[in-house]
Amino acid sequence: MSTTAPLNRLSLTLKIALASILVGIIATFTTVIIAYFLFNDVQQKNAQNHLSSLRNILENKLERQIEFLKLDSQSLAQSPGIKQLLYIKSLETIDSTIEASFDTCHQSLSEHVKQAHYHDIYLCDPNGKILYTTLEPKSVQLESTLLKVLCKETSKSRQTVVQSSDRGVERSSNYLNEPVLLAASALISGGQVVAILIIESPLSILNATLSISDPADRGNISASTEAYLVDASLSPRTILKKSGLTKVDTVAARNALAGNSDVSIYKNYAGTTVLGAYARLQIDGLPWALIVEQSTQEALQPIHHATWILGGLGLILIILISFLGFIFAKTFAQPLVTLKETILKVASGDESARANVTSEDEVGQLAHAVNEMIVERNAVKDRISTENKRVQTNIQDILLVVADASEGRLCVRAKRTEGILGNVADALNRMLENVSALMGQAKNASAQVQESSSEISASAQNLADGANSQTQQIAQTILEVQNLAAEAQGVSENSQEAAKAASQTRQAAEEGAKAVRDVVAYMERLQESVQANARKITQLGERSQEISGIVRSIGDISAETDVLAMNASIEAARAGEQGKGFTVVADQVRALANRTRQATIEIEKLVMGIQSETSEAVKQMERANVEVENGTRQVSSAGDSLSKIVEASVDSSTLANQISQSATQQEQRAQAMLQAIVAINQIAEDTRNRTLDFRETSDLLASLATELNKQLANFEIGTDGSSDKN
Amino acid sequence: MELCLFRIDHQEYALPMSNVREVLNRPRVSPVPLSPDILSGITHFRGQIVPVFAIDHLFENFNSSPTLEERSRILILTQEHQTLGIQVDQVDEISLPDELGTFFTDNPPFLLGMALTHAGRSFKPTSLPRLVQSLSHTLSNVTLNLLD
Repeated sequence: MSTTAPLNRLSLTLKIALASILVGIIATFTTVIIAYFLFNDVQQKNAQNHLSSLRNILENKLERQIEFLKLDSQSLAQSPGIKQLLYIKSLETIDSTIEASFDTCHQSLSEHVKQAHYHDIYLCDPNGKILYTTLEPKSVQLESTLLKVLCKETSKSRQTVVQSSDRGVERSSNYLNEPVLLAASALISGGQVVAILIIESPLSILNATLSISDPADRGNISASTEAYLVDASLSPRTILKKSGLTKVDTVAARNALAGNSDVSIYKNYAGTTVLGAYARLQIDGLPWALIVEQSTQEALQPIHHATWILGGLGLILIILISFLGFIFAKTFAQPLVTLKETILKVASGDESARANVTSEDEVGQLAHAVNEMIVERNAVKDRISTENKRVQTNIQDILLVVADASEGRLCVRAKRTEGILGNVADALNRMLENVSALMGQAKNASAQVQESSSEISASAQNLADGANSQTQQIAQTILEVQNLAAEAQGVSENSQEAAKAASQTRQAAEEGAKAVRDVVAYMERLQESVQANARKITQLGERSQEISGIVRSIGDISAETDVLAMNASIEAARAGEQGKGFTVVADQVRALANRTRQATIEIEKLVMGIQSETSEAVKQMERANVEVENGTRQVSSAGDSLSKIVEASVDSSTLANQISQSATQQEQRAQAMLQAIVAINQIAEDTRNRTLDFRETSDLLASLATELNKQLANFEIGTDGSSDKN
Repeated sequence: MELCLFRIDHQEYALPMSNVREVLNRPRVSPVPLSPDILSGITHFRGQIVPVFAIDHLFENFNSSPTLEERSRILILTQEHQTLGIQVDQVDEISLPDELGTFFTDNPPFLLGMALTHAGRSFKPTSLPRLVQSLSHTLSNVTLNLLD
């Protein structure tokens, strides 16, 4: 988990690059290591083969040289010169001719020694006594145990024997103290060994052979290559590069002397690690070992070179693979990065962004799909914005209608559209229609109220007029009654003039009765008019009840509208961001409903005012009615009194005496009547005042009705036909 | 969070707008026989039978609940798959509260506290799950479990 987390955070480019670099590094390492081992193996084998072939060549050369030495000694032993020399040596006396031939032989032998780079050639008898040497031809002073042993061995085997020695034959003269190679051949005459010929050759001739002077043999073997011989006592038999050593005690020398031959790596006499080939020389009498060495450092030089070259090549390859890996990663990841950037751009609102990927692979197809998706998304977005615009327009239409309606133009209608806004428009239209119908009814009712109130006003005017004339008549009646009182006084004062006065009284009383009847008639008319007024006012009260009923239903409708608008708000809130505009509409509708409710409350207040005023007017009418009835009753009783006066005045002429008696009574009655009339007058005055009050009330009613009409006129209801349709 | 403000007995309460489905004006509410007073009855709402509650029965200082004629509006509420109606005096408006503080947590337990609107009006936010819990608790003695 801990390793995948940072890996996941790496970009795709880096991942592909790292993967390819990793694979490249592994492949390069594997290749370089395999190549190194293969090359190392081949090189080592090559060096070994070369060394062993060199060893074989040297071995052959040495064998040939020693064989040549043997052949040379054999041929010398068979040569006639030696036989002649031996013969001359056996002579006791030597003359000059013999001397000359001896010299000739000696000369040719010396020549041969010089040519073949020998030390010397000895001629011994089978017992080892030296008969002749090329260095001391005349007198031989030498005694050599080495030669004696060799002569004995040769005469025994009768074959050519080769032997080596640490030093040459000892002499008194200056002689090289170095190892020598001796080859001895027997001279056989008549089946008897007569003498032994011994060639003494320095080992340095072998040095020349081992110095590997032939360029063809050298090959790639360099200066560090060394070939040398070791004898059975581990002493070097050739000159070593490191001088002064008397023993070569190495693994190779021991193995070679033991008869093995191999190529291996070991430490040589100088302590250097070398690659060496060794073998035992197969020459009779010479149990030597031939060793060819080369320092491993030099032999394996190409391997070191190859290691460096391979390492360098590997490094270059890794750099190349890293570079290629980055290029591949960029190539493969670039379309995906472009795609990601495009999607981010689209997400941040850039609609014109398109993935510019031209490849035909899966990434290319994905890019095409993404492009199509972006186009599709833009189309969907456009569709939504178009739909939004349409809804906006519809909402604006509805808002215009609502604004018109709130200003009182109820004849406007909202356009019907699809969806929930259509339903709202329908509901709004229905509400507007209902409201305008109700307003129409209210207008009609109000007009009727106005009409009725003007009728009431006219009636009140009539009533006032009647009351005025009544007052006048009553004033007249008072005068009459006062006259009557005066007359009655006159009767009491002047009983003689009673009869005349009686008739005058009767006449006056009749006139009074007539006046009283008129008053009664007026009173009755007044009563009728008051009752009619009361009926009208009661009707007005009923009308205003109807208005309040209508206003209540308007209130109900506005409450219903409020709920409808509330539900619209709730639906809009559910719609979320899309419903914001619609919430505004719903709020407007609610405001309209509230305003309608406020208007209905005001109307209701007005109607309540009308109703209270009406009931007050009706009460006043009733009171006036009662007063009028009282007045009528009293006036009627006045009439009755007058009739009695008439009767009395008829009898007055005959009952003159009684007149004087009753004159006082009559006067009292007249006074009472006067008081009654004054009371009547008072009542009539009251009636008139109340009628005026009533008129004021009815005027107020009329002005209220007018105000109501004005209020209702604010609403444009539209044509009757449209309101009737719904 | 948008809130729906409504009034019961001159007190303003609020519920999250997400719980409110509709306001019904004078729907026909059929009384359920032998049911407690808190259950006003059942009504139809979009082809669904919905219980209607007079939640002022849950208030501590409850005196007497107005009849359905007097309190005619029903607020239809939903919570997951439950739908129920409560009698309200009036549904006022949808508003966003400025501050929602809990100043008291006494009865009834479904009130969350007090809140203020920008106009300075105070109301009591209500939690519908807790209200339903209270109703369930009150109705636990009744075999008819309309809330399930």
